[in-house]
Amino acid sequence: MHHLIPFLIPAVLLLSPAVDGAANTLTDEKIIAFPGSNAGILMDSTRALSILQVASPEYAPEFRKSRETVPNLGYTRSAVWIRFTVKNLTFTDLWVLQAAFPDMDNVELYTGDASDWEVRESGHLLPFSARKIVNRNLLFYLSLPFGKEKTFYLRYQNRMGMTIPLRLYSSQQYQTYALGEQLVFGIFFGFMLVLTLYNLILYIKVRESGYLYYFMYVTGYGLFQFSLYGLAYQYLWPDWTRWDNHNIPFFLAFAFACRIPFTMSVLDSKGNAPRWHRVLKGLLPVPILFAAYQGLQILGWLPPALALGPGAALGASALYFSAFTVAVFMINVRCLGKKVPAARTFMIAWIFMVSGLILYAFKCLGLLPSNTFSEYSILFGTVGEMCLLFIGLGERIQAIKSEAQEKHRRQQAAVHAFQEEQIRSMRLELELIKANIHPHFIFNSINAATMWIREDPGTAERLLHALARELKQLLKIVGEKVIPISEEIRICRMHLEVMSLRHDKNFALRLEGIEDEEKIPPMVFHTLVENGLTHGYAGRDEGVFILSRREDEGKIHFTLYNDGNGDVAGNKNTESGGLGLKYVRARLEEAFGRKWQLDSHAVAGGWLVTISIQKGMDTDSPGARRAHPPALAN
Amino acid sequence: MRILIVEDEKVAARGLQRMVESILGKEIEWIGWEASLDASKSALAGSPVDILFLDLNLNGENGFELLQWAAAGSFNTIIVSANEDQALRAFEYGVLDFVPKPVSEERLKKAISRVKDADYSGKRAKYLPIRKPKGIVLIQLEEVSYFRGDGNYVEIKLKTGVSEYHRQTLESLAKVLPLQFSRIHRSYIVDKRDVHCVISHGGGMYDVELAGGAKLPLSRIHYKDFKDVIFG
Repeated sequence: MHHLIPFLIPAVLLLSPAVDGAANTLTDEKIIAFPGSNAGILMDSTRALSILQVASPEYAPEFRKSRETVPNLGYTRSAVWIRFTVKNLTFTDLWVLQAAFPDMDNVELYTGDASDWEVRESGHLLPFSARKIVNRNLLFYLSLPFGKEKTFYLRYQNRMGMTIPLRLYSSQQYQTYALGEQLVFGIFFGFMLVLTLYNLILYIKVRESGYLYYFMYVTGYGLFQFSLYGLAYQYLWPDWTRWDNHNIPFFLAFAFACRIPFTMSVLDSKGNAPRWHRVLKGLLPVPILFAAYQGLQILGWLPPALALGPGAALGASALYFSAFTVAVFMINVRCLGKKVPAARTFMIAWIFMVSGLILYAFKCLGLLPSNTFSEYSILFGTVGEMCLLFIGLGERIQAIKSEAQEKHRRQQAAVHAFQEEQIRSMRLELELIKANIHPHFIFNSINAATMWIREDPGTAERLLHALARELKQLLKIVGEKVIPISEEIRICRMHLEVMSLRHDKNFALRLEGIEDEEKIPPMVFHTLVENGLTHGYAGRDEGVFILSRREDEGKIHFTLYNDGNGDVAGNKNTESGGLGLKYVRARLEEAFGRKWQLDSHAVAGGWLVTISIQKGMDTDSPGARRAHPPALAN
Repeated sequence: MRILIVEDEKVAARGLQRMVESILGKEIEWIGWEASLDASKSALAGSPVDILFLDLNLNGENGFELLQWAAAGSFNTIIVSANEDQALRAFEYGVLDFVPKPVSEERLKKAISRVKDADYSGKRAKYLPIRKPKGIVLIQLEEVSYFRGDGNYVEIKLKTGVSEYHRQTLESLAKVLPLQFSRIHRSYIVDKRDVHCVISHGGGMYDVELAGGAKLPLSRIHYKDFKDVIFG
């Protein structure tokens, strides 16, 4: 069973039925024999039978014939007797018998005949220092003289699964086999070791908790297998029998305890599958408690009353394992549905792992024949899982990285947009000041005042005062986002006064239905009044502006009418008027978003501008909106 | 002297007229005021003027259009405006002066003195807008070889050999031309850089030969400017 060649041939071939015969005949062509296939098996439930009884003719019929190359009796408390006969037709007389796997508690080999039995003992409970052959498996040397037929009895006792991988090698052949086996283990555990260290280094460098859990998981699981195949016992603690009795479940529990946070971390189960996340969270203390329990048992601090029998432990762990498997599986399914990065890879990894464990469990329970495939199923599953998990972890980190980059990009965009808005707002203020405290306005006004001084100093004084008041009002409202309409009306009136005196004309503003406290962006009507004055009053000595307000269908309409020559304004160049309207639109958009309309057109006897604002626009909000940066996407 | 003020603000126009009257006094033959470009055009059609005072902001009319229109006129233009940022461009188009608002009498006096100074020459003109049937066309002064005066008209000879005609006296035009243009004769102004040589015919008779081969008479009084390039 444990040799390199069957390891490489499909397992099916190994299940071929054994040749029926009383004796295993050893020939030069057949230097490996499987005595199990035609051995006799006797179950001694009393565990009290002696070799003399078993070898006596009266017990001979009790032996039933084995049907398997590797008899697998599952979990049994009985002592199991095996009888087989060998006839050596080769010139090699030293042979090696593999009697059991490392976890067999006790095995006794009886050689001799009816009167004189020699017994040799081996087993898991025997420290390595007390063993004749230092090997992970339980081996015996057999001396088989040429041509002689010899019968052997073996007595097994184990609290765990009763698998009897009987194999007989010529001593030379055994060496070949052992080397092959070492190679396979070397490759496997070498792989695990590299993976462990690599992920530890990755964790130290990247500081991504997924790598730490993965490192712990691979370490725990690797040790579990190192122990399962008896290598830990042989190489790490050859004489610490008590520890080795319990470390397999201990490491398995440890590995599970790491697999849970690993799953939670890499699949973000809390966000993606909250219900199954809680189940998994509930399962987390179990392996921790179990590992602690095993620890106590190993140290011998556990009262015997609390010690679980193998059956109870087995049942409990099967139950736990089922819940754990289902929870991880369901989280994976949810994550697949939500297209979580690497979810598919993790899913396949988990299926590999679970399949390996289930196959091994079936083998232990005797539901599956023991062969290369079932014996090493955990190994296969582990290699598959570890590779896939590692790939999945990489995908996951990659996804996190690109997500972070995307987030960073979005944040940059938000910051950029915010800055843009601020710049736009500042530009508006600047334009407001430039458009209204433009030197040309002041110098033209002063020019007119200097001319008035000669003609009528009183008018010059009025003009300069009106100009000063307009500038003061401008400075007062220039920094505001919105102002009461009464403030706007004030500056419009001052402007009309300045312009009246400059042109020696009479411009007036009338109001209809205006509510003084209603808020509007500053300089909107002022700009429109300016536009109205610029166009359409050539050759006229007076002008009237009418600002009115009405409501309908959830909208407030402000209209500014002036009796200037509309045709002139419409036909002549509209460069300055166009700039003015552009400015007004920018101001309205800043204050009301898109909830406004502006319409400007000639009407009979004048020009009409209508601004409609959706009702319920909180005109205080724009200022508040601008005072805080937009919430950054988190 | 005939003077037109183009200004949309009644008060400013009144004040300016008063100042001009006090500076020029009896020299004024006629003085008028118009508020828009269209009105000015009709006023000028009847009676040409010597000086135009122009505000570039007329009831929202395009200042650049006004400037081109004025510079293409047969008169000397003085801009009177509060928009000092337009001054540089105004000079490039060959206006005689730019008087900023508010207007002071001293500054206005200086501007008017340039009109009266026969030797005054502006230094900043780059273009000469001329009126053609299709509208106003800009002549780049860099491309002009020489100007020939003929009564109220000026023939503009370009370096390409093409001639253009502009309605303005050579005296009036001379005031706004930059330094590279030199008077060589009662009827000629040439681009000095375009002069190839001066040919002496003896007896104080000279010709200027231009790079393009044209030979133009050189007056004795302008001869001193060219003695370093005398030939033969």
